[in-house]
Amino acid sequence: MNKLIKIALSSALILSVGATSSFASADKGQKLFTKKLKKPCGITGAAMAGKHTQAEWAEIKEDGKGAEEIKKICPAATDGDVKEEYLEHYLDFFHEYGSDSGNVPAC
Amino acid sequence: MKKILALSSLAFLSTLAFADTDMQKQIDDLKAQLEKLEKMQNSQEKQISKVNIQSAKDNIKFDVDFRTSVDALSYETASGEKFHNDALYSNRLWLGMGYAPTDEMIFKGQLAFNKAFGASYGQRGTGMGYDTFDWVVNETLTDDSVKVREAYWLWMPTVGGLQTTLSVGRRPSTNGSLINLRDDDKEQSPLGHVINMEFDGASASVKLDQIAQGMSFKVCLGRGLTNAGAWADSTGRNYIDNGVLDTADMYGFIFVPYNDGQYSVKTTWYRGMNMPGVDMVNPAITTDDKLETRGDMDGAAVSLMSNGIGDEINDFLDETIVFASFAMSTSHPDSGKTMLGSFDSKNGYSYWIGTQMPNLTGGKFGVEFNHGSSNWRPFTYGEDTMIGSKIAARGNAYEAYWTQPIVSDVFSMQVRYTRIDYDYTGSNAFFGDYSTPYAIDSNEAIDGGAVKTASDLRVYFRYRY
Repeated sequence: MNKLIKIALSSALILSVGATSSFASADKGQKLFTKKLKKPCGITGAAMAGKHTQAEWAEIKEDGKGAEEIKKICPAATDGDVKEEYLEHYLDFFHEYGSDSGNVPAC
Repeated sequence: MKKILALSSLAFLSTLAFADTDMQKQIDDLKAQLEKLEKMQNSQEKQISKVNIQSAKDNIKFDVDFRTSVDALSYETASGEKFHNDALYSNRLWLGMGYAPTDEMIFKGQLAFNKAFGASYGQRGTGMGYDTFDWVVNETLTDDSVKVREAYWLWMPTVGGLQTTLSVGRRPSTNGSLINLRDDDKEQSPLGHVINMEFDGASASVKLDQIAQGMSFKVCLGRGLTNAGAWADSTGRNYIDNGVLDTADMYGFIFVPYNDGQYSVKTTWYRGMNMPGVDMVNPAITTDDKLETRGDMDGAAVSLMSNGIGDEINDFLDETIVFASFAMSTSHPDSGKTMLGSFDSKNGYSYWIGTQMPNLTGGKFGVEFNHGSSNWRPFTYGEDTMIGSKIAARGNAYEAYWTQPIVSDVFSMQVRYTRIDYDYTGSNAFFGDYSTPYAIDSNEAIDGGAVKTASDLRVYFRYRY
């Protein structure tokens, strides 16, 4: 195998061992929304995110009111749907597509 | 004495009363000021939000996806000859753009550049021309020009309580369902088992969640070739039928019967009409390898995916994906012409299985296997595999990859190994005689120098924001 490929492979290995990040949070939030909240909410993820501005979503996250707010918008959501471990990802996703974000959802 | 004490107490109490009144007044003033400040803050927040909306929605938003990769390519022919390129470096840029002036109307586009390191002398884009063919022009390594990979508008009105979409333009038809997993891309709507190439066309869809969770139906139309000749040629008849190739159109549907975010079933069917191919029998055409219209080609697929195993058993299973997909293709040669080397209609089939699981470093590890029969012919020319579409293989294809985020979701890397063992020739050809399936150990395959085994070891680093 070419030396350059070996160097590239070694670099990749070293870099990955040093990496601490997990999957992208907003992407994970989108995936979790489809899995857990789409049915109880009855709206798309983009529509859900559009319920608040980015600043409002940030404040909801800071105040630890994510679960409360999701349940307010989606009364059919259960405690299991808004578990603590999901909230960070949901709120990152909602923030990404907040009503004033101008971000264009995937189609 | 008593009198003095009484007077002192009275004076003290009256002072207290005055102090109380004074303090209350101060508290009331502070409250009023706080309310005023709160109102001002709310008003400012609304103002900031308005400015955000104005600035965010008054501009096209760009995103960048830039990838540098090195590929080690190996080929072994049916006669045993070996060929290598041990380090093919390339850069790929996708400059994405989106604009959503209203919630219902979106424009999306993507400009692309995909080129090997270094100049190419008389090789790419100047030979047979297939590397700059419109279906794959942004997927193959060409020159340093930036081309349009996607440009379309998408209208998403609610009609009779149903969410619908209508879209026209150069639509995303690569990185479809399942193939997006190993490509680490967001899933586009086509099923990657049968469609993976660039197209100009239109689509219309309706969501049918009222019937079953995640149910949807989408009609797709595409034009793969135009019969329009050049502007200002010697005849002066701009853009009329050039008499060389017929217009090649495609129509079909994507039906998703169920998708709850974890379990999904996706199906598709299409017909590609007037598909092109080379005639190796007719010497007049063979001399310069020109394409001619050969007939129609149908395709269909059903893909099943479980995005997570079980329900919150553990994080590993929650993040593990398994899938299986089955697909078929059927040729319909025009009268007196051959397709896939035959005057008769031929059926091909393929199956594809795979899994993707999280690893300890926060990345993803995946393995895939697919098999195709002798007459298998999908539209996957744009697949992101340097050695040719693994999905189109008439034989077996094996793949293992490891995708690793390095800096948040902005910078990542991938190591991927793909190996294809061909059982028959013609896997990556168009629809004419080059797609004739000769057994890989036949004299035709050996004499023609057909590739028996191909492999690609890739390492890439990718920036996305």
